[in-house]
Amino acid sequence: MQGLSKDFGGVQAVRKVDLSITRGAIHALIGPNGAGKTTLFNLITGFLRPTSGRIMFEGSEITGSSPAKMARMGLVRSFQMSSIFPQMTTAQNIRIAVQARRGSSFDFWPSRSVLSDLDAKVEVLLSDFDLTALADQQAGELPYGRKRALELAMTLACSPRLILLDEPTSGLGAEDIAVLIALIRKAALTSTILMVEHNLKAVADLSTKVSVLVRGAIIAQGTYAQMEEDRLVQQAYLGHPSLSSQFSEQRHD
Amino acid sequence: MRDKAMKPHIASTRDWRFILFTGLILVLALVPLLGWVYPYFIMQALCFALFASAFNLLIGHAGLASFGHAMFFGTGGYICAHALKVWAVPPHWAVVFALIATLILGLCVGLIAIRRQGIYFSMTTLALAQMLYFVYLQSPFTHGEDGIQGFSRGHLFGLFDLNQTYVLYYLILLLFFLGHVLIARIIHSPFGDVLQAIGQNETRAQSLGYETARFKALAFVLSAGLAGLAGAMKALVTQTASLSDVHWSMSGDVILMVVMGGMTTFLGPILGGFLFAAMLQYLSVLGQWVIVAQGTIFLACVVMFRQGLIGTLARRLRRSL
Repeated sequence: MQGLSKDFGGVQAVRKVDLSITRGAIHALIGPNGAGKTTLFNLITGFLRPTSGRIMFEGSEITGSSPAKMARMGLVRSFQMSSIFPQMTTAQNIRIAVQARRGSSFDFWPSRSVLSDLDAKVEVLLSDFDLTALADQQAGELPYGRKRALELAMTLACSPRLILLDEPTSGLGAEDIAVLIALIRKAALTSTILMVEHNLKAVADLSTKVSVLVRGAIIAQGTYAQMEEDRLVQQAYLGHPSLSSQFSEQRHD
Repeated sequence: MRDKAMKPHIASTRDWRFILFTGLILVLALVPLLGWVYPYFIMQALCFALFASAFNLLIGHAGLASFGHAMFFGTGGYICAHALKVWAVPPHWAVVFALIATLILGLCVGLIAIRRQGIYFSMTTLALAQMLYFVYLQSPFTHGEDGIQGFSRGHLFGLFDLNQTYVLYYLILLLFFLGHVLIARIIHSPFGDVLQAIGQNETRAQSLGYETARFKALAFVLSAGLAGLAGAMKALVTQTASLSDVHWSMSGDVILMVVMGGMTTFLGPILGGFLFAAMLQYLSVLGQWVIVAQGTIFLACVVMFRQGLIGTLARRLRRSL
């Protein structure tokens, strides 16, 4: 990304951000609430159009492409709120995601049994994410942690080259977080990952590189250990003991 | 070992729907032999039922609430009637022309309306339907308040005289059947699955790589064509095409049919269409009070059966109906 900016009626939510993500990395984007992380995410995945700046992906410019086109190019996102199809079963949710890779799905006459060659991939994903037992349950009725796992499974079903995870651990208990971290690590074997995350422990565990976003601008980049040492970062983010303790209390609710 | 458990969901659960629908068609096919019901009543009900099912394809499956669907129903009727009366073509061509016209109209309206979501989509369809209503009101070919009437139904393929009640009856039943076969195929197709996903969470469908606007546009065109077919059938049955079928209140009536019967169900809109036709037929003695009676029945349905009659039944039986 080069000089990416987004204005919302006079408010600059993202200011001239330059960010490059190395292939194979688990790149974490951290920063206090309201720093513009989600906005940046929406810019990268085409849900928002940047006011200025360019987005390059594997050597070609993709600025201004539709979210669907970005996804077909291999840039797939997950959402902060578990974003699934609530009235479908778990298996159907994954199938729809796998089906997206099939090329056009405008065939309205043939029966859906033409999709049966996708079943094998659905089964693999179900078992990878430990969802096999819940395959026939309505996705909307799954426990929260399972919904997040399903969401990640759907994202991976698209065989993405770059996965964008928006706060994957938010709202999860410690056990579920451990499971999810393992899953993300597994996903990172085949894809590059950019994630927004508030849980610094997860960031420390997972990330190969960290960028710190404060008030719409990147103030520092490096490994997690380097960020801990960085004075600017400490001041802006980690160095607010009152704030961060308040924050961790919220987490534990 | 999980294959068995998975099949009913991934493959289909339409067995009950299939059995009940086939049963309905068989019973309706026997009606002329039994002779206890007035065949014109059934024919009208079949037209409304197909209209409701066409509408449900959008609202129940893609989550698109069109408030202007009467424009397709009415246009189908006008084109069919005009083709029979002025162009004097045989009835099969009249129906084909009506179908082509409504498909094109559906494409134009759809491409404009699907650019907006939610209530803005609905308002766009309503606005376009009102504009078309005005065009029909002013155009000489519709004969304004009088409508197009006094035409012969003609001979289907030069063989079947549609002015004979039961020949017409079986044609209408056949078209009703074919329309629903198409809808059932759509619902159970790969396209139908994506449509349902879009209805439940459009943003997610986009982020998986589906250009949702194109899927919605195709669904809109299919729904418009089926609504047009229903309108053409009604023109054949009643031998009139009038402004009332393009009026916004008809767009409201079709919502009423679908909500009473049950959105997202296959059989609900059919039941809704029959109930609506029954209300028109048997409540007409109430004169102007018919609207109050309709409103009361509608309210009762919504309050007592939130998922509609068939929807509530489906929930009880834990089946898709």
